Amino acid sequence: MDKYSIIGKRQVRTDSAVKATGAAKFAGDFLLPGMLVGKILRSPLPHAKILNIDTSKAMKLKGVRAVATGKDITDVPHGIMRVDPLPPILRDKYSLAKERVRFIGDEVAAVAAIDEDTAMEAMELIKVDYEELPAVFDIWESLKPGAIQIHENFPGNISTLTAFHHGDVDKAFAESDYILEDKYETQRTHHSYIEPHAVTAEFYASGEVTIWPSTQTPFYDKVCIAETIGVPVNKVRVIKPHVGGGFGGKGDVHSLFPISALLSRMSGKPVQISYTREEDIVSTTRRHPTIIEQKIGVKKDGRIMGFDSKILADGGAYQGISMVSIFVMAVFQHGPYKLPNYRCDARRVYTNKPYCGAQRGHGGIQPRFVIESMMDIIAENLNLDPLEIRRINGLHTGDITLNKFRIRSCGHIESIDRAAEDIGWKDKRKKLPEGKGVGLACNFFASGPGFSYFFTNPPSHSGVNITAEEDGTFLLYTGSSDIGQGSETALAMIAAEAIGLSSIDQLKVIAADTATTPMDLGTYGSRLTTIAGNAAKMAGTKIKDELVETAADMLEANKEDLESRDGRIYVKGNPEKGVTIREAVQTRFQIKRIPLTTVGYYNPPADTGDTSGFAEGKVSLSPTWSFGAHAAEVDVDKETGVVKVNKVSAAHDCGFAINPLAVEGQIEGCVSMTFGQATCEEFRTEKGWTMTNSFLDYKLPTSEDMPDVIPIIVESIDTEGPFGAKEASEGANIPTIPAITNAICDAIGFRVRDLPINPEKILRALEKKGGEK
Amino acid sequence: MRLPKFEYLEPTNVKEITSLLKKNADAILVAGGTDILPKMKQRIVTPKFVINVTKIEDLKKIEFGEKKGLILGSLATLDNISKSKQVIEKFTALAQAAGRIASPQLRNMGTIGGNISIESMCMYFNQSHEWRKGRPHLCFKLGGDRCFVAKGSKECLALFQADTPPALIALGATVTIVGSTGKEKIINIEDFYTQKSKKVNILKPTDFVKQIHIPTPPKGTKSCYLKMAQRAAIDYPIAGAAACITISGNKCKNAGIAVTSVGSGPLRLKEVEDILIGNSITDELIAKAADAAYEKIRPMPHFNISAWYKRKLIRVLVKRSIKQACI
Ligand SMILES: Cc1cc2nc3c(=O)[nH]c(=O)nc-3n(C[C@H](O)[C@H](O)[C@H](O)COP(=O)(O)OP(=O)(O)OC[C@H]3O[C@@H](n4cnc5c(N)ncnc54)[C@H](O)[C@@H]3O)c2cc1C
Repeated sequence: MDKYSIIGKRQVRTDSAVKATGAAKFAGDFLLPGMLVGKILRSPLPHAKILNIDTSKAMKLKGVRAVATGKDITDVPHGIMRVDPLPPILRDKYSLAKERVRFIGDEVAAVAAIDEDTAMEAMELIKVDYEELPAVFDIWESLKPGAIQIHENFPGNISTLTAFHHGDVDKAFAESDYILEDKYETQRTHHSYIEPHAVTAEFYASGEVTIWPSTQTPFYDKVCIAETIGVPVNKVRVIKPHVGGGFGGKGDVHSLFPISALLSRMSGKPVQISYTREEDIVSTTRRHPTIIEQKIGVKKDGRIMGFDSKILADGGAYQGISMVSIFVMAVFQHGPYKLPNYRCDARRVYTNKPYCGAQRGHGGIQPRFVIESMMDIIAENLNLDPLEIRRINGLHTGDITLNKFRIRSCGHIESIDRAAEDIGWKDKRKKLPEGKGVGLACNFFASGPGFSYFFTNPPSHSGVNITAEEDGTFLLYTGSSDIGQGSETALAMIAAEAIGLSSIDQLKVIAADTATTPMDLGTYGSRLTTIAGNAAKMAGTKIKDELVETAADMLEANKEDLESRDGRIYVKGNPEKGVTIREAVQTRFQIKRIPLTTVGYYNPPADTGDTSGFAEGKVSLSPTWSFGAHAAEVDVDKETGVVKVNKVSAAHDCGFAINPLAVEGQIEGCVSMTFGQATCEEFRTEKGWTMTNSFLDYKLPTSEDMPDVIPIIVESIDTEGPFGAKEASEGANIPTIPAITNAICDAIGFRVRDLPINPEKILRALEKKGGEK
Repeated sequence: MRLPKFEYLEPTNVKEITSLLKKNADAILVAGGTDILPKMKQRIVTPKFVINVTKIEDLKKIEFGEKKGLILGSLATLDNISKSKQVIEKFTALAQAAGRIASPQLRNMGTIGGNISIESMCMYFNQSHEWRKGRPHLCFKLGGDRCFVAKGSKECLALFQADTPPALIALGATVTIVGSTGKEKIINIEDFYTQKSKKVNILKPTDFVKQIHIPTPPKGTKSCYLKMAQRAAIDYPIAGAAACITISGNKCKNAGIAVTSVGSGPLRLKEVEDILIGNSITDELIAKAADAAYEKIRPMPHFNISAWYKRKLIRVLVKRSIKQACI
């Protein structure tokens, strides 16, 4: 018999049928009686004072039901960096601008009208008087003394600053045999989820409002909406519908949510706002572009002694979640290699451009590109095997990093070995003809944040309730948000296994409704399988315990001797002697007449570092960590500079694959996203204008461009995650870029130091090299 | 994004088109709509009348006869052209060009008439109303007074990027245009283009492209179109090159070479043809021809692609397309 009956098996997702048939409802699909269309008027200028907004003409247009401006909202800025003791100034944005606009696309006014054409016409009738202010688009301009201040509270236009120093870095460099200093740049990218932001809101005469947003974090939305429109938090109900992807882009509370509630209150009708793709690309968030100066000192054998990095990120006009972005960029450097001495100074700078936030692989992508490139250079210069230098520096199970991350399970070496084997490393590295090459890179990522940046005192990080129905089936209530990754299926599998059900069909998941489901912090930081999964496991185990007790009475057996599995509770070793779960539930109801509901919850352990405030980098960052390695094979066309990525062998240590089908899907999705960032995606602006505001100009790779992706699941069986599981949805995003650039270096000897790798860069490099010879 | 309001007209024959165009000054033709509808959504074009010409079944045909050659109705779709057996066999470059345009969905809708008639493009021009709102100045193509591609330029420098025109030029196609009087005029495809970015073709507002004709190539002729774009689908070419070569008795008897996405129109490269014609084709000769292409073109940087790269790329594409047309 397999160890488990449900988990570890390839499970088709619970939402497959509704999505395949088109029946699934997304935020923009709701059709409520009398519903109005909402539209947002945006700033056409990169930086300006708002002198006056005249909405009278728009109000008079036939079919217009409400026009809102910054005057109609409270003075509480919306923003998700709320936890004590973070200063309130970190919330630096209003849903509708009050006095000033800071980028082209900033929200200035909003209209609700009977149809979209009328709403658009009304927007043209709103007259905004601006006093244009000087704008800065370049971080160096922004950092210059005397530069215009984008936010008064942030002198020097520095929005976030972190400095982490552990050990004696200078001494470590003095003791190193070899020191490499290098500099890299990464670009802005956009998540490009298939569903642009959308929301439907209905404000009722009772003073309550229900909102269906395309979101990753309904419990944050609830608070921000309540604060922005000035109603008590318990009057706001947020129900997450199906969501067409988020990748971190729907984890910030975007203006359209409070605005839709506001317009609905003003008009007395339900209001729907659906962003156009252009609006979405321009006004939401994107990955931070960075300039990273890095220094690594090693011993002759390749052991890392000292590590020093300086990160400079262009943040755009607002703060958003970026304090976390900068923080994680710094701290995620502590794996997968052991760093005995470490220093990182990171700064984020405001500019008058669309602002940056979280994107899948948050904080991992930029530094990892740098570190993994440099590991290869160091190996080359010390005549070491790139795999060997990664192995000898690798963390191991039981290690505690300098900043107190606990490594509870570690598939680092197995990932390297399996990725290398799959790509044919031994026969290919340095052995392929000129123009062809292979490269490898590793990763390290959090399985859910160990801290909350939003709530100071959340009831728990994740709550799950399970209730038994009279027929012996179950309802599972979770506040967590499935945004397409399949987390509801994973939770159902975990709970069903814990209870001992024979299939997940006996358990229905009710999720992400702030009025009926227990609080969960949201979908970000790859937290659901580990964190909500542990809560589901606890609630399921409690159900099992209760039912085993009943069954013990029914069978006149000791409960310690009973096992619950495949829908039955029976005596271990004597499966005939047992009852069905249904019988146990019904008997229990008959005897006790008490509802059977259990409460599961999970809070990350406090032993991974000290929790005295994350501004100093001392928080419990994650319960446990994922590892992995990607190996890529490329072909470079030496005449055109075109790089073709043939294959990516992507090994990922997810602890234990609850649903291997979903893990493979996540690995493939991860590779496609960062393959895009490596080879073609770049969010570009010019003097504040977004130039890449469509999918024609913002180059997402197409299915025809994709390399073969070979997902390789590594299982290190974690001690903290449910049934040994760790994250599987972001870590595998991280090593693709350096695996590709390392392969390019193997192919043509050229080191890519800025992204994306476009053919022109490669061709220039090839010509330069030819000239040198 | 929404379309602006307009009145919709649906003629059923060419005569009706001509009279509708004559009657309504502010009208535009829509064939597949894949180029013009996005522009309408962006409010670059806001016509009063939209004339949908796709009800004229006759003009969707692809006909071929050894004697009469290939006749493409202007409404033949790119997908059908790219999959037509005769086009693939005898007019390979055209099938390749049509088959590499945009994406499968767009090729199902897009027509050859529309493809040869698309305007030049530019990142300062192909933008939405929202995008343009705060711009202090408009470019020439939007009726403004400057060009943002090159500061100080006295004229529009938008880029012509259609894929089929270079193939059609290399293959020696002609275009039949119906004018306002209903009279048909046949011109060489090369003469269809003005080489001016502000208005790339000679079509008058009342003109309609009825069909395209390509004579059957002589024996020993092969052709090839090569395109390089940022992605394998959706994207316009960074550069594209077509070559049509007739070999007779080991010598190049005839050559047609043309490129796209290098300037204000598709460009026939006579200098390159001259190098090839009359000679036996060797690697050295092809390299010389490719160098001549490199020398001839004077591209501008566009959409993050530098002129430097474009010229290098044209040299490679011209070389490879000639090679493939000789295999
Ligand atoms: C995402 C995207 C990618 C694209 N990629 C490419 C590409 O790679 N290569 C490429 O070449 N094109 C590309 N295009 C442009 C377009 O799809 C094609 O050029 C297509 O062939 C246009 O044909 P259509 O029938 O759709 O033209 P329409 O949009 O209907 O018309 C285009 C223009 O031609 C005029 N017109 C149409 N038919 C006639 C006629 N019979 N007589 C006179 N005037 C006429 C119209 O009035 C209009 O001005 C792309 C478009 C999009 C949206």
